[in-house]
Amino acid sequence: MTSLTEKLGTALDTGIRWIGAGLVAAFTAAVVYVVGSRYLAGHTPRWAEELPRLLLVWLTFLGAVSAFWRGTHFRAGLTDLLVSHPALRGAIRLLAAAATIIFLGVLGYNGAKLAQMTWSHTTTALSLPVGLFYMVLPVACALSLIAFLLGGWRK
Amino acid sequence: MSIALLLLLAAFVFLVLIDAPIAVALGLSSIFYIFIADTAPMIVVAQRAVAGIDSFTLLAIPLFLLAGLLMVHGGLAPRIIALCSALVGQRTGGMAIVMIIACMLFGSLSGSGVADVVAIGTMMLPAMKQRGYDPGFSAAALGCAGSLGTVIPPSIVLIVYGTATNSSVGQLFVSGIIPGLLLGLGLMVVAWIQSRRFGWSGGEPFDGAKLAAAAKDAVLALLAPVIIVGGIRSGIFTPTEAAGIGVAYALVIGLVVYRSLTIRMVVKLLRETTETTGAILLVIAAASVFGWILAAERVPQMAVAGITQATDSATIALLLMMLVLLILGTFMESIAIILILAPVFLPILGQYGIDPVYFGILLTVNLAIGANTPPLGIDLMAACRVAGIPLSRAFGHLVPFLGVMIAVLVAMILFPALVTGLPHLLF
Repeated sequence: MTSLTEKLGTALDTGIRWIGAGLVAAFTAAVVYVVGSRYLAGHTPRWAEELPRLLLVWLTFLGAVSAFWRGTHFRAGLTDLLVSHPALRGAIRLLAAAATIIFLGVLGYNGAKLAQMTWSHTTTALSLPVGLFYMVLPVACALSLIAFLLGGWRK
Repeated sequence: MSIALLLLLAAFVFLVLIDAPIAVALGLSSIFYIFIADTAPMIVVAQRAVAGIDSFTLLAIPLFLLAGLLMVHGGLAPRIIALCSALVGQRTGGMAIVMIIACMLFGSLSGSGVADVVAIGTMMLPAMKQRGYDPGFSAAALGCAGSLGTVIPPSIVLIVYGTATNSSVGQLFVSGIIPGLLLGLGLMVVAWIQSRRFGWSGGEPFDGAKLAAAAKDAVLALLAPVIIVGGIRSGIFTPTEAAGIGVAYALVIGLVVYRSLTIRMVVKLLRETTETTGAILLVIAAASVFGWILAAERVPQMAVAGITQATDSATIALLLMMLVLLILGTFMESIAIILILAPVFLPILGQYGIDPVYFGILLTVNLAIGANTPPLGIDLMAACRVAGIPLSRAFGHLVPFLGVMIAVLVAMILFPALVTGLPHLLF
């Protein structure tokens, strides 16, 4: 039987992957549109670089949430080779989990501070708040922490 | 070297050893450094992490990932593999040769050598086992060939290197073509010799009509790499735009012409791209913070001073850097190594007058060798896992494969024109 934490984690992962799919589709369409616009209409839209870059930043950190849930972030994979004792392996895994939690906490907290500081500044092409680029950090780090604690740390 | 810097490096190594994600190892050791050294506000971690990925060039990574997935599921990749099978599949060692070609063509699907080995190995290894190939041989061939995606365009590792060193991604792609072909051909020759020695035969007998049909069927699929590399080389597209056009092309062919794709499948692939992009680019984001600290601590300058004191010879300097890469390449993903070492190596290249594009190709070949060098060798380990055999069973078969890769690397060092010739001709 699937546990509640597993269900919640899967639901979060599914939601994130849907949003990510939308972001990938959006910047793919934007890049293709820019090429078409340059060769067919003879002009490049002013958002040609800025908008896809903003979408990429959001995609990266939201995609990382899914990778934290599924345990697919790149690792050296040395523990299984170097340590054979199960209890010691378990302790090492907890240590690595603690490192992940601290990293996400510090990154998310400072991302929130930076988003707040830069919200009144605007970007050059689209006059969007600069803080939009940093806003993804508190959002994605909080979601990553939830995904990780719901069971991602075991995978 | 300051105490804080030593602690940074120690924390990074410790976190890698306990199997924390590489991104966490880079990010948390940087946080630890800033906390100890107190040289900058902690907010710089967030600022550098976003700045590291806020790049139009890096957009090429998710776009090429998606293009690769669409080509595999949209029927382009299977048609090219079918053409290769019709061409050489019936010969001695044919299945192994087809697997190597598949790795050369689609080896950069995910940006991770391990993931590519698993993806292609899952398709090819069962069929090879059925034909009587020794699993140790198949795993050794798969591990080595699976690493070629780092060298052959459109290599995601080369995009990352180009971004990290401010080198032209277009030039890197073109420079990787001849070394990539040499490596692939070398592996194929080894596969053929070994197959002949052990009597591993090919598949079905040669059939001219089948070959003609496969060739006709694969024409549109074969146009995809031509559009991507040709578009970049002719200056029609930037690498990022070429990746976008590659996605559009694979989508149209897969949905409309081959009808192998459905909208539901496209959405599934978009979702897969999300996760893989997150895993790759989070390393780049965290490495941006780490690299910023290395620069602030003047590590690149220290490395230059250390190497220039040790030798005046550019070749020896090159070999020293290759040795470091080879050791790291045995247990770390190529992308992480590049992001950590590129800022350190770049000034050394300048000091000895070594072209960063040339070095980039040497570096990727070296990392491909490292990824298959025991006792670790992460691509080899992944191949053995897919084959369901212990690592030791592949060792005996590995020597000739690794030997030929090392021979190509040495040839590239002795004859730089193998790397620089084509870009000089085309750019």
